[in-house]
Amino acid sequence: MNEVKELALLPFRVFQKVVKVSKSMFERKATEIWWDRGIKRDLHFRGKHVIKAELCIGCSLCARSCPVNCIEMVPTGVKKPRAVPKVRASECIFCGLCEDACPVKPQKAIQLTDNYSMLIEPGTWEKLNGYVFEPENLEAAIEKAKKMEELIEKKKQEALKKKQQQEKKDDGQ
Amino acid sequence: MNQMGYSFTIESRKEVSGEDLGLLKEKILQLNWGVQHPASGPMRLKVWIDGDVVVKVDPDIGYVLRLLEKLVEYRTWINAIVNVERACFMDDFGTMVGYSIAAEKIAGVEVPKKADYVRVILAEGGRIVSHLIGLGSFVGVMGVHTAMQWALIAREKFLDAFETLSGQRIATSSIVPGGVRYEPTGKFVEKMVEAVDFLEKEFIPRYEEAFIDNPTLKLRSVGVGVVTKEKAVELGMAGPPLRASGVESDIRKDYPYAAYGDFKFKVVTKSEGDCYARYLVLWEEIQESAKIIRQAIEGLPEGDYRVKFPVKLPPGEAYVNVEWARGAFGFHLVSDGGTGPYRLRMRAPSFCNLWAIPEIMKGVKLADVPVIFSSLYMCHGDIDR
Repeated sequence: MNEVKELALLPFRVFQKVVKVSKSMFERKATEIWWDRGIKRDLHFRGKHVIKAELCIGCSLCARSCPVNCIEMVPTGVKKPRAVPKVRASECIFCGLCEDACPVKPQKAIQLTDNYSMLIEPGTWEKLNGYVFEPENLEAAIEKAKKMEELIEKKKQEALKKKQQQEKKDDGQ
Repeated sequence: MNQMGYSFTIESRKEVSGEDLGLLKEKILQLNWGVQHPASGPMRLKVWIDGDVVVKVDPDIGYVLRLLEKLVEYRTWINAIVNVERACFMDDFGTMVGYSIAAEKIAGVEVPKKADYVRVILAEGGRIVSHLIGLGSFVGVMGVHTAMQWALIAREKFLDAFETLSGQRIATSSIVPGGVRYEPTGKFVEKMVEAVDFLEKEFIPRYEEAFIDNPTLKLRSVGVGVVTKEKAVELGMAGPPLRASGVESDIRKDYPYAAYGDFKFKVVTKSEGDCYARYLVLWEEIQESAKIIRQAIEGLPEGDYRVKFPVKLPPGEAYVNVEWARGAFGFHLVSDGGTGPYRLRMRAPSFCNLWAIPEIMKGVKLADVPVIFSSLYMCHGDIDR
């Protein structure tokens, strides 16, 4: 008797289950992905580096102060800055001593920010080794520096010309 | 049999030799207690037992050796703190304070008063954080893990305060030669007061009700692993285990460093010298540390928190002792006139307590080995360095 009843109710049961499953598709997820939302931090958190090429003077104090030697000075080809820092993120211990050592005021050229998301996918040897914090707007800074150098050279030549002209005048007199 | 108000009945039993039951013929057996044992940490005790009684114990260490003393030689004066603080992650402030004072002694630099006060606040915070884990793990080895969870809840509040100051929870690297790296802002002080309030008003009454004067805990720990006063001095023990044996030794009181001379606190001592006394010393030291933090926050002076530290130091030597969470931590720093330390020798208290184990564990039951081990309150990062 029971079996017959079950059989008769079978379509209804199937319908019930379909409703249940389709309902849960639009519900809130049980697990939440917190790293997209971000965490609220007080004051500061020692996270990802931001290197500003236009502020850097190329003194390499940050590279010297690093306890794990993960900062590399990359030569730029211009006189100022002669080289800019590049941080190998897979070796960095985020102690923040490079930020302390930076002599640029008031804003530091190398700074640790609140940005903590550093997921690398897939985590292969090449990808981890290639994960570096590079200076921002490096090309623009180099171009600016080149223009400045040209300007300075022009001014120097003008000053030289003036001097020569004055010397000629002096000789003529 | 009557013990602690509980009565046990012991059945009369016959003597049966092991050979009759087909058991081992050799009487003395060697066991490896450790490396994979949940209470041992990354080290091994070779334990020889006769039946249930321990005959001999031989500690085997070196599983977490990092050569911190050697690594410091490749650093500058400032960034050597990164290696020094990694002696033990639980109380990293104490080691940084000791190294910084040693470097300042060689350089002849005087630290502003505010930096001294902040160092005291951080060092006592580190001591509380470390002792909380010590209490929790002592009860934990007996099979009750609630104590550890409660201790971690209280510890979390202190870690929040450290994060507000420095931006990291554990490896803060916040104390450098020449002062402290970050300014103690109002928010940090607020969080520290909040943490101490939680500790004193919520954690201490709740924990005291359950795990202090607990009859079951007393059954396991009273009279176990007794070290007399003379023996403790002879073995060269340090820190809470030494004070539990009745020796009033505390560097903070005997040779005050930083700003410890300004505060009122008492040195906790017990005369029994057993596992339970060592547990109680940790418990009472937490309350003393909370009082010191309150005093330091009330009297926090204004002014600079960091002075300039020279790049090159004159040649010279300095030896500084600080009272770390686990005892007196010594720093012998040598300078040859360069930009970094020529040699740093660290005298670790856990290492001294470790070599008291073979003496203490002679003739105890095998089941008491983890209890004695955890009551000695050792850190493995500090043993191996």
